[in-house]
Amino acid sequence: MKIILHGVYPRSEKLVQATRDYDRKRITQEELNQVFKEDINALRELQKNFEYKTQGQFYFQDLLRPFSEITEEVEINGLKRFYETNCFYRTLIFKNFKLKENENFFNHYLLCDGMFEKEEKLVFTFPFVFFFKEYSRGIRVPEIKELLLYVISEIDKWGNKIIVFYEPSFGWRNLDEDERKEAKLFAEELKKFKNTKFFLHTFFFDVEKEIPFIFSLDFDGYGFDFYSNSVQKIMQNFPKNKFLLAGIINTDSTLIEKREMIVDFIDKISKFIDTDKIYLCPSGVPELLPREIMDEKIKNLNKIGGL
Amino acid sequence: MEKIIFKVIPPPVDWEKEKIRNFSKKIIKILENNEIKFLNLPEVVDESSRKEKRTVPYREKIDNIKFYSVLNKKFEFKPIINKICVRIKKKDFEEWILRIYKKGIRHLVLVGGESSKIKYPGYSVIESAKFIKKNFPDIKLGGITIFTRYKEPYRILEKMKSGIEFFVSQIIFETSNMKQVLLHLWRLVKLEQMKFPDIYVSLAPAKRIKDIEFMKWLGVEFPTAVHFYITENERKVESRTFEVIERMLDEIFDFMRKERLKLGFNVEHVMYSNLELSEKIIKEIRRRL
Repeated sequence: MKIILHGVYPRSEKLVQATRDYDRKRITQEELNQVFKEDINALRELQKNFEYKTQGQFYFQDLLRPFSEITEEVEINGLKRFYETNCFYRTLIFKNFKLKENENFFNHYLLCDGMFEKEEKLVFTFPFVFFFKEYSRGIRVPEIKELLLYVISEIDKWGNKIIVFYEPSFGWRNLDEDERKEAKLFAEELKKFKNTKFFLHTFFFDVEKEIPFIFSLDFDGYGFDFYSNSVQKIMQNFPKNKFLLAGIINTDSTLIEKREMIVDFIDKISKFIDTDKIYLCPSGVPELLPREIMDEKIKNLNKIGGL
Repeated sequence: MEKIIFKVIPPPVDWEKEKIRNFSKKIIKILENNEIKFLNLPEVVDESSRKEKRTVPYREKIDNIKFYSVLNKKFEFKPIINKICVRIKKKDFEEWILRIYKKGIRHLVLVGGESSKIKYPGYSVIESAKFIKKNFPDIKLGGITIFTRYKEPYRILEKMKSGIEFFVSQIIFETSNMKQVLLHLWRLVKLEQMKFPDIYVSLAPAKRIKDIEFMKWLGVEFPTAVHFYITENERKVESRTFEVIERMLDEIFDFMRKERLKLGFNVEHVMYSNLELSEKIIKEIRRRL
């Protein structure tokens, strides 16, 4: 069974400390970079038998912040709770939305300053439009789309990529008709990119009521948090020929998943979809867990999932 | 249950009379302007056993009972006297209780020691509560709750069983732990067929990074992101602290609505120079009530 990691991966204690030391001017940029490299390499090693790898998005302060570097006049202010978690996001305040070319976004944030090749099979995670809207101000949905499409058009030239869009707003709040239209239009626009697969990942909440709408958005795959949703309800109408991001690594708990539970889950889900269309993955945001726990969970799943 | 109580640190013993008078006037004005009936008066001691070095030097404070008497001459209010019961000998504690009872004090917050590793001469919080309830049943007893403490719902329940009826929390800068503890406690008291206790959530302002560092030394927990946000820029500490408090109030009021729980607030100034800022928090709470 294939495994895929998405989102920002938790930083090691060493990297957290190094970042603090750097902020307090106790170590140099070079020394900090060295620790970043160690974290990235360790994660690469952890995924050595995965088809698509994540670089961990370690340079992302959060999933929105790097976007401030490809737009003019953005202020980073405010502190907003990340949905119903213990994490916080800074709000991006767009004064006058205008795209700005900045190679650093791609080289530094996505390719980790040369540690990854453009041609590699990589997974990148970005916020979907409502998530983006939730943690920004002064930017309209069409502009968010423009911003995302700008990044995607560059990535698509590289080929061999999966882009996972995070959207916890499903099940969290009611989306109005205009918002739904915008989401549909965006999904349509993504179809023009032929070298990239696009997955929409929902998590944290029960999305049962939104399933028909989610499936009406023409993505290559859909992701679900199976700790907040039942297999039966999600899978009974799961569209044919689409991929499933099966959120089975519980990011709400430090307990390592039991073998029987994983085997039972795979057994249940395989009744609805071909196993080659399934990617086992974290149920929600990996960075909510400590690094060593997340590593352990992946090793465990890798051991059991490779049934 | 009172909706807001106000916690004031008694002034240092070396303040001049005029300075104490001015400070007292300010307190009375806040109580009057905001219709606050209860003043929470802590017993401040030099907590020298803490591992970290004090970020603000210790200055001996006027005894809280004495300060209550000073204030009460000018304005009528109900005092909530905090007593660190473990520090004084049992006999002295018993005499002290009798003395304050005769003064008409009927609200007490029993405070434990700084560390479980230290051997104290006096009654524990539970023992003190039992003693008081047996001998002075009309005294209303309060305790301290720290939402980040291990097994806190069980600790609260144990204190409730000894006669403690209300709890004042440690200052908070994050609501997650509070919500978890209170929901767990709600289940526990239901199982025990007890009444949910009165809980006062403590909030405090800050003007400088120094204030935040002092609160940290006192044991207040700040999530990393919140701490970084508040202390990022010295000039923005005041506004960002208030912004965080406003967000917490949004979350607390949402929580109360959703869970149908009634909570009160204990507003503290912590630093003498932040008295006016604490009134701003009181007004913000009032606005939402």
